[in-house]
Amino acid sequence: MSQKKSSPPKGGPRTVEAGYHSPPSWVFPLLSLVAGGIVWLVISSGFGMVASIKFHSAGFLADFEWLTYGRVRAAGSTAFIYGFCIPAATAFALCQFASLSRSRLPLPGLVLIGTVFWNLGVLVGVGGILGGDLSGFDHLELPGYSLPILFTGFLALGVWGCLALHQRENSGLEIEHWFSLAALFWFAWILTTATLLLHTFPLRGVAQSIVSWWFTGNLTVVWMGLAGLGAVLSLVRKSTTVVNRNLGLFIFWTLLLFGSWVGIPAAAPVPAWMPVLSKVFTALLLVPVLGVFVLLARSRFRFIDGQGSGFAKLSAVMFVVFGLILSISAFFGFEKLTQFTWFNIALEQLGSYGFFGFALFAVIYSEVPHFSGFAWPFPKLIKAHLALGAIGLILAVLPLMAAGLVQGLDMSNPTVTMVDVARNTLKFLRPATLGELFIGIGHLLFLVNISFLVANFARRKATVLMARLHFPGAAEVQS
Amino acid sequence: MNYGPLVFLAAFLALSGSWVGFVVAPNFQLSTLQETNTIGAGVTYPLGRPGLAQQGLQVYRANGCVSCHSQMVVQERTMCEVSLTDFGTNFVAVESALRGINSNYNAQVINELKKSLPKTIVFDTTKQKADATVKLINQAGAKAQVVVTPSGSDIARGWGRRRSVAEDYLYDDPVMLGGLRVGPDLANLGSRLPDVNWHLRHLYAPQTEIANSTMPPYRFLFETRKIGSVPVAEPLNLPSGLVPTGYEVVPKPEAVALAQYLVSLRADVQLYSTPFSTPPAASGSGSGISSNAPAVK
Repeated sequence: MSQKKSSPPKGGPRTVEAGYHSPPSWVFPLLSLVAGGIVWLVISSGFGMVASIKFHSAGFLADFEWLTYGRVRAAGSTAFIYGFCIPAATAFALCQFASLSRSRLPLPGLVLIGTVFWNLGVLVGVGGILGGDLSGFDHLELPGYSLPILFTGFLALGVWGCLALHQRENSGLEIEHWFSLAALFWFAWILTTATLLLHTFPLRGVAQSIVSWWFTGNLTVVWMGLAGLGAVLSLVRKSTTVVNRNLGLFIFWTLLLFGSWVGIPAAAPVPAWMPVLSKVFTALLLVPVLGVFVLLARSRFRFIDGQGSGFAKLSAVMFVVFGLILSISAFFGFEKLTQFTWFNIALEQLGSYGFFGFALFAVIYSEVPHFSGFAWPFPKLIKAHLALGAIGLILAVLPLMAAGLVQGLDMSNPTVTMVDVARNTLKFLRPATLGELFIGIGHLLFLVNISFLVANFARRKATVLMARLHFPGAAEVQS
Repeated sequence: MNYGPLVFLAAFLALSGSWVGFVVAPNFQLSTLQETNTIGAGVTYPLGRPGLAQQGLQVYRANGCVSCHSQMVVQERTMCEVSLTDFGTNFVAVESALRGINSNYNAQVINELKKSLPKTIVFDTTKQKADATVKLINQAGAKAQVVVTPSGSDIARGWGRRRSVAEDYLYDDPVMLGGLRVGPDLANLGSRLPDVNWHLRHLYAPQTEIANSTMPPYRFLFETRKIGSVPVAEPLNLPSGLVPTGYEVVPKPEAVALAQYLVSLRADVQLYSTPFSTPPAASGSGSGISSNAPAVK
């Protein structure tokens, strides 16, 4: 944890006292993809706070059309998923693939194009949501016109990832590479399907909702599971590689097989086989979740020393907890109690923030120094971020789960009016707002750290450029 | 050995399985979904929403109303009851039939019963038992009918008379079913609260219509202007104190469209996929169903 200087990466750029290895030209665009993601992360917690405060004072900012609850909530969740999660996870996957090869990788411009288009797409999308163009589909609130921009960006990044992977030196892939590769591939698939069937050629009636649930389930369980586990597993210390490899492949395949059917609610007004099938597969999700637990137990829960290992440990625990609650909730009519309540929101937050967000923080804190060649300027802020994130998560999730259970019990009793049902949850929403505040402050610290790191990186790059201009003949170490 | 292609193939098959199952198959099954006929009145259902209500759906979408409101009624089970509608003339036979059903029916109870028809004589039973009872009563020369009642907390709250089905959303785009109920379910809001002006007042100041409501106001859908400055169609009739004197609150077109959409939310007709019966009316005629289906007569 107390690592102050960056350790030299395998085959990547490094800071050397004597000379300066200029980093490969794909490093800066990838670093800006991550940094842009962290800017969106801060923006998303800002929107989240505004949305959260509205529960304590309904009139708060109510007269601004673009800040009405429904729009701010959608903008916040979009900024988190599309602004931070997807670019950060993709950047990590590309770094993983790039580190498999020591040679110069082709077409670094693709990463730049991808970064620019992706962030432009999110900007247009979040702006559109605030302007009232949200789609009305959960987890895909982005307006239809922003999706082609995003897709172009993702395609550029994905193609570059495949090129980098193609240039790898050893033909075999580690488990975590399979996870990251499948995540890239599956995200392109589900985004294309959802775009075509919800925006370009919209389906009729509830067929829209089915595709929307399918997309949500695949994004929050399969994609996040794949990309998040790819990140966490890359930080697990590999002591018993052979066992872990087979177990890893088993987890990989069962997660795809079972997780991709999760998401159709039991009460959905659709032909009955769909919710039933979805429920069966949700219960079966227990298999990969227990697999992850066994894998972590076998590796004695030891992670590679790095500044993100605290986040990695928390993330691994949260994955198991999230998966257990999700799959067990398919049994015993639990869904009857929790449907339409805050419980599901809390569970989703546990998965997408506690597991997935923390997994990304872990790899960003651990890997960015390796790839950029610059240490984190303020290592203490990383510890503060970890503490704020952990406390914030507990404060945000546990009260919200309690709120959901109380709400479910109240709703099943028709003598309790709906106003009272809503009022009875408010006391739980207060600590949750506090939790979001903690989480948001943690994000600000994260932003401070990455901004100074990027500034250091850019300053060094500028110095080198200036030196080249002034002393064209000076000896230069090329990687 | 290089397992790469095998891993890729296995992953591809697993993922395409879910794509075929939850994207292609539902589309095959539901893309042919047609309007249907209602039970009883036999009218076509559903009809598209009127134009203004369709614009209102877009206002509903644009402001993220789906974040807090669901539009699907959940039904926990279906209850069957038997209602005696006509006693007939053969008192002795009917009396013995009723005693066969319930030994508590003595002559006095039956005489009471006879005066206040229609009356439920068997509560909460299965369809088979209810049919058998009806047969027994009919053989005795009286008339009885099975009453099918959906039940569950949503229905007890008055949010609908039956569960929501795929047909209810046939003409909506986008379909916004919602997953969180911070506020009530709106699938049948128009049946409960059919007054457009109520909705306008509620959107402007929710707490004036529903005490202690946690709903935020949507005042940006309204315009506050000096009385007499512009000729006005219909200012809102708001409680005093909300608007400064000399001013009036006028709904913008979006507010009117949204209110029209909210009153158009009615999914309570009887369909063959979700049968329920209306308890027999005392007069013995007319289905008595209120719905957005037009009356055919």
